[in-house]
Amino acid sequence: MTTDAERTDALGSFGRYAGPATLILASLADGPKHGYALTKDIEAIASVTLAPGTLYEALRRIETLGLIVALAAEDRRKPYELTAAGATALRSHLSTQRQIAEVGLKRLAGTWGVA
Amino acid sequence: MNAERAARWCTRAYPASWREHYGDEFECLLEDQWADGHVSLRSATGVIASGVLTRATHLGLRPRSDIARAQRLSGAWGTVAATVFVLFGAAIWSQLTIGWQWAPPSSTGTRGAMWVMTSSMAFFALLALVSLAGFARRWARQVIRGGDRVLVASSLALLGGATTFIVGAIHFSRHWPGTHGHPWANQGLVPGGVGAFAWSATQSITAYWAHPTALAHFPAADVAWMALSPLALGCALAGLVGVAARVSAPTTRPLWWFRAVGANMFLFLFGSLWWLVDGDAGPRNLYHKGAIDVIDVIVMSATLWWCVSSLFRRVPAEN
Repeated sequence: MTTDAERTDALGSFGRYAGPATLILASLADGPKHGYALTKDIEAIASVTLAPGTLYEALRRIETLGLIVALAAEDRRKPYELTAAGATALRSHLSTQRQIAEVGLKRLAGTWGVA
Repeated sequence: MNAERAARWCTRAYPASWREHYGDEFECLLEDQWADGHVSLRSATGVIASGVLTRATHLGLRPRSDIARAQRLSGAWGTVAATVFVLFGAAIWSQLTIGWQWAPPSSTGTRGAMWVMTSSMAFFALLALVSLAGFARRWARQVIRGGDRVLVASSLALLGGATTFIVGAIHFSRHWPGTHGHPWANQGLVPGGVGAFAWSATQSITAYWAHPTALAHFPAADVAWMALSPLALGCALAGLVGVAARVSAPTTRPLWWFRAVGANMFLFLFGSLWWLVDGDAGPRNLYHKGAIDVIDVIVMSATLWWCVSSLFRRVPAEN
């Protein structure tokens, strides 16, 4: 049984798959996508090319946690959709990341000046 | 090699169950990525390596994921702790049950404690049956489907250990002093056979280990049973942990089940402490408290803490 709190914390416990999982969830935030569309979108938004094995391992993990759900296959390509729990987890994770980014940038500006 | 053939060939590196779920779409992704007809060697090697690692994961050679690993460890320790608790609890309870077969306790405290402990033991049995019923079908289905050697080995260890333990306990319970031809047999809270089985199953937990001279007067077969029964139980437990790690992963037990186990352990411990602090040794000293009982309660308290800390630790579940 997975509680909402556990799902919200889930990305933090993904280890080396936290990055790919965050990218996938962020990509799905504007609508369902299948594997290839996901890799292309992630390349566009983050300049990161996810290897197929990494992509599907991350997909398996976040699907198992109920953060995404597979829709009916279209010509063998199965699109994935963000669930409400996935949206909550992504929002929480990104808020934490933004806080870290803001603090880091502020400290950099204080010590090293504005770039 | 064209993209379609290369994709199909590389996807075969993954285990069949994975391919059943993701195979088609994964092949499509590879075909799309390699659509220009140029199959990247680096990408193909990466896919095959991922497939081999996934196979290793399915064989149990690698943890399924960070979360699953934490869950598996947590569940395994919880199961071991709960079983040790029940074993030590049954050792106390069976002695008192034997006492009641001869003469009921004279104090209200011991009577109350026995009611609490007996109810708790019955609830443990019910919880075990409920979890076995929910588990057996998935377990059998996965074993029949085949291809999982670790599951088969774990199943053999579980069945072999449990059969040896149960058959041995039934055999040695025939020497039970509680009903040994005594006309008052079966006047306790539970049928004499149940008490006899619990006594026989927990014969290894005894103060006689500290008194080798007294132990030497026991029949050799009984001493062998006292020494070997924990090994049989350990074998069954190791098998159970192995089976549970592979079979219960897709459907994690509901939280109420863990809460029920933990609450019932608290209940039994309360009953044991109630009996320990009750000063009355009962008729013919049948409810006498010894050092072994204090040790039992200490072990139960430690395993309860161990069990609760592992079962109730906040570990994100797999589904």
